[in-house]
Amino acid sequence: MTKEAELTNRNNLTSTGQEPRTSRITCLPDVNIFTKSDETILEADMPGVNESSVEVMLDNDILTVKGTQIIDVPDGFIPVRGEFAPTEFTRRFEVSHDIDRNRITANVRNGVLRVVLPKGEHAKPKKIAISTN
Amino acid sequence: MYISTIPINRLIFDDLLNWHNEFNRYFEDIRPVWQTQKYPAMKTWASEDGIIVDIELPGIDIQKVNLSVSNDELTVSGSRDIEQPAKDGSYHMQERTSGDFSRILTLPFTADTNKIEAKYKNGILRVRLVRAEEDKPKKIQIETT
Repeated sequence: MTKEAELTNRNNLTSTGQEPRTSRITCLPDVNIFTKSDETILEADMPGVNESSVEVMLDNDILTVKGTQIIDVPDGFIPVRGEFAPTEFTRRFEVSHDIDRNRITANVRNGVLRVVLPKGEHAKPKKIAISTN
Repeated sequence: MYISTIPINRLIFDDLLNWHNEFNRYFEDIRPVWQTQKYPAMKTWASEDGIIVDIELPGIDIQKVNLSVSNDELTVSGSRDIEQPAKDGSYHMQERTSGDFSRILTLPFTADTNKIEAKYKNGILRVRLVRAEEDKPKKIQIETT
């Protein structure tokens, strides 16, 4: 992103009434990846993220997960202590060739993003028939 | 021959200042270590009549969270279960925390225990506490003799 584009982006965020872009930080979400029968599951902690502020992208072999924390700033209150700033979560993963790219699904619930990556038919074990001469 | 109209010192300092700004820009994007150590992380807003506490608890079963308030202490405790791999499966990456947790936040006032609201949305638990009437400052009438 060029400096100019970044500047415009900051102004847009400020003008929509959210907390200014300058106080937003980028961090890596905590992630668990495990296998379960024929699929691989990726779960990422993204508190404050909802369906409309999360994005999952697959570009060739790179899976990118992104989410923006949305926190309603209460009226008439001033922040006094903050152990978490408005956060943008982002992380990239390399997807193995075993995964069927067309059947990847994702959902977000209670601030946890869950991506299900099913194994493709080509990666499942096959029994080879033995021919007799 | 090229003659610069800008004093040399100025050029050097501009470069240094730019470099300093660039350097700071990189570090403002990293979450400081001390901010991630306490679990769960909290954010607090205050007004004259009360405070709002946001507690980061992604993917928690809210039935397993206990909130209690006594005088000027708010305690949040509970446990978090996370999905485990199947018997024949395995972890490729394991970073999410699980198990029991407990944290006490000292409030700047005595809370009215009848007026506590708690709401869980998108993995953040928002607790609203109101200052008790008897805790609020009272104006004392001064008599003249």
